[in-house]
Amino acid sequence: MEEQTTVLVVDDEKVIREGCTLLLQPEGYSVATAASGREALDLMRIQPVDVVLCDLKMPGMGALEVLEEAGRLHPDVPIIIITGHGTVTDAVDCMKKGAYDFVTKPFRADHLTLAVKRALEKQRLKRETRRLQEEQARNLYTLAMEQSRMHTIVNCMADGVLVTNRNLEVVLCNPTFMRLLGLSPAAPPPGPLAAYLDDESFLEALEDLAAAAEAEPARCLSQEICRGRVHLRAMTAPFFGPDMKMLGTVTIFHDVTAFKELDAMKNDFVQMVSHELRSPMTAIKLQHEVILQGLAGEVTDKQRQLLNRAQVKIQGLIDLVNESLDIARIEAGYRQLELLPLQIGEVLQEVADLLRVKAEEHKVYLQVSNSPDLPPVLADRRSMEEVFTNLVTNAINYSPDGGEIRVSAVSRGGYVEVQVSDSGIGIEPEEIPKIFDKFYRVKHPRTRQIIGTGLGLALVKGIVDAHRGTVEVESRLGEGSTFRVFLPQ
Amino acid sequence: MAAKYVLIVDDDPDLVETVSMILESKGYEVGKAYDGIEGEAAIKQRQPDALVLDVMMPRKNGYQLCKELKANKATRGIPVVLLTAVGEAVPTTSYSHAEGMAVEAEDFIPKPVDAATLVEAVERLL
Repeated sequence: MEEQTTVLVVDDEKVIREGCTLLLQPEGYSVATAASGREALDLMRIQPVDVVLCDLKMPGMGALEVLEEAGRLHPDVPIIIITGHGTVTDAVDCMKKGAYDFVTKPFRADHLTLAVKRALEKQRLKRETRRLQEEQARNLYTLAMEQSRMHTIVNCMADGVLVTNRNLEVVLCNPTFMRLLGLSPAAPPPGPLAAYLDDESFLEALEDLAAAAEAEPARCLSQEICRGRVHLRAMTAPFFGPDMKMLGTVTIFHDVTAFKELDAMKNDFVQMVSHELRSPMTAIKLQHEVILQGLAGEVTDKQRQLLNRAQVKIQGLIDLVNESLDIARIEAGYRQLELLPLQIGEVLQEVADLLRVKAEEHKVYLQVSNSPDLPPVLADRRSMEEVFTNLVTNAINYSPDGGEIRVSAVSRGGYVEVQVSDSGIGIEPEEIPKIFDKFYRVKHPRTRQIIGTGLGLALVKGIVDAHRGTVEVESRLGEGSTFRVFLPQ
Repeated sequence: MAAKYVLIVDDDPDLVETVSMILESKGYEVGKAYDGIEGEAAIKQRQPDALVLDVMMPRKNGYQLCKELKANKATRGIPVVLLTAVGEAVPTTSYSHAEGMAVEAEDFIPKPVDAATLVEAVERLL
C-alpha cells in the first residue's frame, strides 16, 4: 500500500482549516494544518508534506513569503494558493512566483479536490522527470567508465586487437597490433583493412566469414599469419547488433614466434640426438657382428658369449632411442597419423603371428579371437601395430612358463574394444596409476631380468590418445592383467 | 666373373670399416669414401656397381650426392641404398623422409642396421 499523501492546509482562519480537513480526509488524504506561514514552514521541516494549500493573506508571513522559502527548501512540493475574489491579481503574482494553482474563496469542494489532485499529479511527474534525469546521468557515467575501462584493457593487452565495421574497415586497433604488424603509430583508424594487413588469404577468409556471419553467427576463424620472422595466430569472430545484424568483426592476434622458434630448435635437437646416438650404435652393432662372424679372427666361446650379451644390451639402447624419439614426435604432434578405415582384427592377427616365436620361446600360449563382424576403426596401421606389439610383448615378458595370453576384439557402443589378457604376475594396485608414465618400470624381483625401456606403455597411451581412444588396465596380483584399448569406430 | 664393386660412403670410419669387412666376406670388392665430395671423386675414378650412401655427412650430404648422380646420364644407372639415422620424417628439418624419397634412391635403410639387412639390400640392387 502506498504511503498516505499528506496535504498541509495553511490558513489563519480556523474555519477554512477545518473545512479543508473535512473535505480532504474523506478523499483519503492525511491533512496537517498550520495557522501561520511560520508554523507551516516549521512543520514542513519535520514532516514530509506532499502538497500545500496556503492562504494568500495572513498576518505576519503571507503566501508570497511562504512560497519563497518553501520553494527553496522543498522545490518539489506544489503550493496552491487560497484567495478571496478581491485578491485574484495577487494570486496571479503568486503563480508567477512559482505557485502551482489557486482556488478562490468561497470554493467548491470539487474545485479544491481537483486542484489538489492535479498538483499531486504534477508533483509525481516532476519527481519522475528528476528520477529519469538522475538515471540518465548515472548511465552516462557508467558508459564513460565502461568505455574508459575497455579502452585501457584493449590498449594494455599483450595480444593485438583489430576491430572492423561491417564493410571490413578498421575502426579500432591497439598498440600491440601496430607493433606486431610493424605499423607506424601514425596510421590511426579508420581505414581499409588492406592498408593495415596486406595478407590476401587472411583478407579473403575474413570476407568469407563476414558474408556468412548472419547465417552462421557462431563461426570463428583461426589463421596463421607469417610476417618475416614473426608468426601470429589470428582468431576472428563477428559481432552483432540487437537485431542480429552483423556489425563488424574482432580479431585477436597472438604472437607465437617464440613457440615456433622453440619448435624448430626442438626439431633440430631431435634430429641431432637421432643421428648422434644411432650412428655410433650402428657402428658398434656392426663391429660386434663382424667379430661374431669371425671376420676379425678366431672367436672363443667365452668371447662369443660376452659379445652376444653385449649385442642384447645394445639392442636395448637402440630401442630406447627409437621409442624416445617416437614419444617426442607423438607429443609434439609430428607423428603423421594416416587415419584410414582399418580392420583391427587383421592387425591383431599379424602382431600375434610375428610374436608367436617369442611366445613359444617363453613357453606361453598366445590366442587371438576376434568377433566376426567387427566394424573398421579409423586408425593409423603402423601405430596400431606398435600399440599391440607393445601390449602383447609385455604380456609375454611378464607371463610365467605355461602362461596364457588372450587377445580379443569386440564392438561396443561406438567403439572397438581390444583386450589383451595375461595370466602373468599382475600389477600392484599402487603401481597401476603410474604404469603409463614415461620411464616407469615396475620393480619386482621377477621383472629384473626383463629388458625394457619404460617407454612402451607411455607410447601406447600416446598413440591411443592421438586416436581419441582410451586405454585402461585391470590387474590382480599373481593372477594376471588385462589391458583394454577402446578405439572410436 | 669379376667381383662386383660396391662403394661405401659414410663419415663414420668405424662403420665404413665394418660394412666393408661384411661385404668383402660376401665376396664383394669394396671402395671407401668418407664424405660426399670424396664419394663423388671415387665414383669418377671407378664407377661402382652399387653405392651404399650415408645421408648426414659433412661437406656434401648423401641426398645431395644422390640427386646429382641421378641427374647425370653417366651415373644415373648406379643403384643407391641410402643409410640414414634420421629415420622417420621430422618436419621442417632438411633431412626429411619426403626429401629422401625425392632423390630417387633405390632403397632406404634406417640406422641402426644389422649385417644381414645390409647384405640383403646390396644383393637386391645387383
